[in-house]
Amino acid sequence: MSKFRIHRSFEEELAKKANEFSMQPSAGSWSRIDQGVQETIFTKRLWKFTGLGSGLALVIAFFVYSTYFNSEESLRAEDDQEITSLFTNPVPASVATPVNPVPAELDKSQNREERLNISSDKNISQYTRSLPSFNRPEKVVEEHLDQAKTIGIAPKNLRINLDKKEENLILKKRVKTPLLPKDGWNIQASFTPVYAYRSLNAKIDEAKPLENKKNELDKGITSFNASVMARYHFTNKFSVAFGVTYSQFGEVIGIGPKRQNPVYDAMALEYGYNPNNMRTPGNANSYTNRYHYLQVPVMVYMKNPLGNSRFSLSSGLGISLGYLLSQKSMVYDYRVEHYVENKNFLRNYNAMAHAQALLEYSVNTRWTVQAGPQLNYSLVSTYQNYYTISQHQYSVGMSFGLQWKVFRFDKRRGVKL
Amino acid sequence: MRDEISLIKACIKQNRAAQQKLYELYAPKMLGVCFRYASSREEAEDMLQEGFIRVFSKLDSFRFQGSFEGWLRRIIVNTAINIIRKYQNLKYECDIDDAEYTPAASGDVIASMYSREVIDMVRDLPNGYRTVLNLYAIEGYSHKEIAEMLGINESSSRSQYTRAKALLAKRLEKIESFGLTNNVKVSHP
Repeated sequence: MSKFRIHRSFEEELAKKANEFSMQPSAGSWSRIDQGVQETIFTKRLWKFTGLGSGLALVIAFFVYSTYFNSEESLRAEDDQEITSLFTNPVPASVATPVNPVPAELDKSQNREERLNISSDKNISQYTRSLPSFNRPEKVVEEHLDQAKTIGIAPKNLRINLDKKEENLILKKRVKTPLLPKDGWNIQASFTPVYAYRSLNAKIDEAKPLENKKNELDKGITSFNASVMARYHFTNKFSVAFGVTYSQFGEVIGIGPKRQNPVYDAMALEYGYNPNNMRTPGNANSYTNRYHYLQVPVMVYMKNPLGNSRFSLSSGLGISLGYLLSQKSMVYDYRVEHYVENKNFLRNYNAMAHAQALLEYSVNTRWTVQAGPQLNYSLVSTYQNYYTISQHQYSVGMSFGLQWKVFRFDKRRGVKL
Repeated sequence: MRDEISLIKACIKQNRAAQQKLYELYAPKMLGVCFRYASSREEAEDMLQEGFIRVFSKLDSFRFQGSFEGWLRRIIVNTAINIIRKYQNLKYECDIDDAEYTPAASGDVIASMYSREVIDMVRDLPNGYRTVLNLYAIEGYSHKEIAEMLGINESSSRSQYTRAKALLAKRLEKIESFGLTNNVKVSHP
């Protein structure tokens, strides 16, 4: 039994009084919450895109790899080179002589059976037991190759294979890191899901209230861009890319009903607007402004290999010139004090800055898959110079792409590969 | 009720005006909740802000079964507890004499007080006691749930609550004896 004599109503009364209590939050509290909510939404969307994109990139990479590259054909050129280099090396007589596994007297015979002294009425296993080296000549070469590696006249990554079809021995170089060529042309294609929004800046004090209102009501959209670019690698580190990009920017604006006043209808008709399509800034509904651009970007990339792996990290900076292909937007017209559809307020050309980081993985000497964050920021306003607010579009997203090597020049052999 | 449901649905669709309306509807009450757990008004506002951000990001998990206010309150309280665990040292020590004092006060004294006075009395308790008292006596959590929330033993939660109640009872006794509702502080280290 409790030694306290407090009645049960202690908790009840305490809870009752506590629940009666309320406090008014400070003035800026909601704006901080709103900002936090928008940041959370953005982070959520970014992760969603990243997850989806990564999954998609993995599936594409796996498909491409398993369809086109899961063979040793792509290493053939390297193999031939290494055979030549081995035999042109000053191999000591003691090592070089036994490379031919067949004794001289047998080698003079006309056919393979005779050379190996094989009779068709004998079981082949007898020969394999008694003449293991002759029956498996690659073993002999392997032994001498091992010796050559030990004394340092053959590269460590050489291996010997028996081509059963041709009955030839093939010396292969095991290439673990087929890095991109230092002097190659590449085509890269990428797709980037993005979060797109805009920054606003009132040019005159009278436009400040609209700027504040728009910042309060508007929000960003999810969009995308896609590009095809030619990329030239000057060196292992630096490359330049140029091409075409299709980009979609925009924002969601908060709109309310049209002001029910015949004066506005008359003004709308005067300026060529349909009064029924006019809207006030408000929070009753929303409208998505979208701007579609065709851009010509020029990017400079700096690439850093990550250790000895096939991964490398590229960072790129660049600019682009864009043309407004089409748009579907509402813009505030001070003359009629409403949002209206008027393309004349928009600039037809745009210039944009781009920053990108790419994690690249060389699938083989020809194909590379890449993924990384991308930031695009408009250097000029979406609106014409005379408009009282300057609006700069921007987008952030996760880019996923493929890079294909067109050719490279092999200086040793003097050919294009 | 129907208005509240449509307001919540609009908030799920990230309608900012609806979110602001929902905030304005519940913020004063929820700030009162946060204030009971916080050591200052500023901290209470931080709890409220973080709580509402969590509410809006988790609103799509609200199933429209049961009271929305109850659901909202649980998130706000959990946020407050997380902040307390992160930034405050939950102290459970107190003077043994205070804790073992047997008071004769009851809920009748509390009933005669203003809610602000009761809240101030609760806020005068050490952090650990205050948290356990809030969770058990006001929010209605069990000691087992409190132990899980605070990462302490169930028996610790029980003893902290008993001591917190003893400290409050001591003050209530003074109020009852002298007819005071202000300027009497619970003595604690």
